[in-house]
Amino acid sequence: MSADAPDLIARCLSGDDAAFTALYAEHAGRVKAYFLRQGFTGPDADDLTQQVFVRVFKSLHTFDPSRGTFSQWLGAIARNVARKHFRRRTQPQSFDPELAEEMFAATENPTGRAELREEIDALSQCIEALPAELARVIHLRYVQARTTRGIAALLGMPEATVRLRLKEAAGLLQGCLKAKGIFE
Amino acid sequence: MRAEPEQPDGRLEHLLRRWGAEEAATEAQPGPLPIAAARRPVPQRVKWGPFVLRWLPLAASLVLLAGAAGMFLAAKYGPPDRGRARAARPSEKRETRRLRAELTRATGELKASRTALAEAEQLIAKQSKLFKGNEQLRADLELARIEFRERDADLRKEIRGLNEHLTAAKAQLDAEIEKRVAPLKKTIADKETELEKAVASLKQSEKQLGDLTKDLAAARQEQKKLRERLDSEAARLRRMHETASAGRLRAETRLSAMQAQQHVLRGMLQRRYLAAGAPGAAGVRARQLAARKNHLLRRCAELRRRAHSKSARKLLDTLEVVLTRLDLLDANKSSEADAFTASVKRVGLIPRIDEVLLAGDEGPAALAWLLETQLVLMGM
Repeated sequence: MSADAPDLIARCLSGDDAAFTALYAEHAGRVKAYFLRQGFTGPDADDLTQQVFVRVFKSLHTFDPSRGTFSQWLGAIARNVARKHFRRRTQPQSFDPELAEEMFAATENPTGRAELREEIDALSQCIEALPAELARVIHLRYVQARTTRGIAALLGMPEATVRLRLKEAAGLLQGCLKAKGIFE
Repeated sequence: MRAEPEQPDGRLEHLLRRWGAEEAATEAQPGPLPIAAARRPVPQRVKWGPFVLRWLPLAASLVLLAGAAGMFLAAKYGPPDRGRARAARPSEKRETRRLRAELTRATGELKASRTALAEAEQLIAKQSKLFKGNEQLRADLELARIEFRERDADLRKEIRGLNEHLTAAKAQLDAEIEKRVAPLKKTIADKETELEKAVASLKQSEKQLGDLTKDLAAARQEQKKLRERLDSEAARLRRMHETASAGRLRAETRLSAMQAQQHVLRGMLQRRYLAAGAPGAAGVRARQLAARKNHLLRRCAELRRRAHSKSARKLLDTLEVVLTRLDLLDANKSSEADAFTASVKRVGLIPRIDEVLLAGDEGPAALAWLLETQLVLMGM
C-alpha cells in the first residue's frame, strides 16, 4: 500500500474522480492478478475486478484504517468475491484462501519495504539467469500459481519431472541468492 | 508482511511467492474503471428496521390510550355545570358514549398492539437466536480455520522432515552407488587399457603376419627358383654323373689293362731280378739268394733310420722281420718254405708296399729297396 492511500481515500470520499482513477490504477492489476491466480479466466477476472472495485467504492466510507491497511481490506473483499464465485464454478483445483494474504500482504515499515524490494529484485535477476525450462516452470508455479499437476498437464510432462525441475531451480536460486548476499 | 521463515527453503518459498505476486500484479492488464454511477459511495444510513418494528406499535397504542384516558377523565371529573349541562344536553351523552366507544376501541388496539409487540419480540428473539447461531458458526469456522492451519503446519513440517529424510537417503544412496561403482570404474579402466594393449598387440601381430605372409610368398618364390635351380643342377649332375660313369668305366677298363700290363711287367722284372741274383735257383731258394746278394737286410737297417713317415718305418720293421726269417729258413725243407709263404700271404705285404710306393714320400733309395723287396716276396 502506498503512503498516500489515506489521502486518496479521503479524496474519493469527497467525490474526486481523479482519486478514483488513481486508486483503481494502483490496485486493479493486483486484484485481477489475484483472480487469475485463483484460476479464473481473463474475462472472468476482469468482471470480478470490476465487482470488487464497485464494492470498494460503494463501501469506502466503512474502511477503518485502525483495523488494517487498505490492501488488507481490499484483499478481504476480493477474497469474498472470489469465494462467492468459486462455489458456483466446477473447477478442478481448490480455492486457496492464503492467496489473498500473499497478494495483499502489506509492509508498513518503509525499511522492510525497501529490503523486500531489494530481495525481490535480486531474485528476479537470479530467475532470469536460470535455464529457460527451469524459469518457465518457476513462472507457472509462482506467477500463475499453478499446481504441479496443472504445470505437468500444460507442459505435457510427468508430475515427477515438474517436481524435479522445481527442486533443481530452487537449488540454483539458493546458490545465486547466497552469491548476492541475500541468503547466508 | 508475514514473519520471515527460519528455514532457507521456507524463506526462498516465501520470497518466490512474493515475487510471483508482484510479477502477476505487474503482468495483469486490468479492465476500465467502473462507471461513475456505480462507484459513488453510499452514505451510511441508520438501520431503523428492528427499532421501528419493536417500538412503533407500542408507541401508537400508548398515544391512543393516553388520549382516550384524558378524554374520559375530563368528561367524568369536569366542572359540575358541565355535567349538568351534559345531562341536560343529549349531545353530550352521545359524546360520552362515543368516548367510551373510543376507549373500548383503544383498549382493543392496545391489546392488539401488545399482541403485535409479543410477536415482534418473538421475531426479535428468533433473529437474536439466528444471530447467535451465526456467531457460533463464525466461531466454528474460525476454529476450523485454526485447526486447518495447525494441520497444514504439521503437514508442512512432516513434508519438510520427509524431504530431509529423502535428501539424506538420496545422499547415502549416491555415496553407496559411488562406492560400488568406483571399483567397477577402475576395473573397466583396467580392462579398457588391457583391451587397448591387446588391440595394439593384435595390430602388431597382424602386421607381423602380413610381413610373414610376404616373406612366405617370397620364400615360396625363392623355393620355386631354388627347386628350378636344383632340378637344373640335378640334371646337370646327372649328365656329369653319366659322363663320369662313362669315364670311370673307361678308366677302369684302362686301369685293368694297365694293371694287367703292370702285372706282366712286374713278372718279367721279378724273373730278371731273381735270375740276376740267384741264377739257376727257383722258388724260395731263389728269393733267399737274391735277397742276400742285394744285401736287403743291411740296407733295410740304414733306410729305416732315414724313413720319413711312420707307416714307412713300420713297414720297414715288418719287412726286416720277414727278410730275416727268409734269410734264416732252410729252403730245402718244404714245410718251412710253405709256412713262410703262408705267413707272407697272411700279412698282405705286397699291397702295403704298393701304398708306400704310390705315396712317394720316401727317398729314391728307399723306393728302390721297397721295389726290390716286393720283387723278392711277390708271387708267393
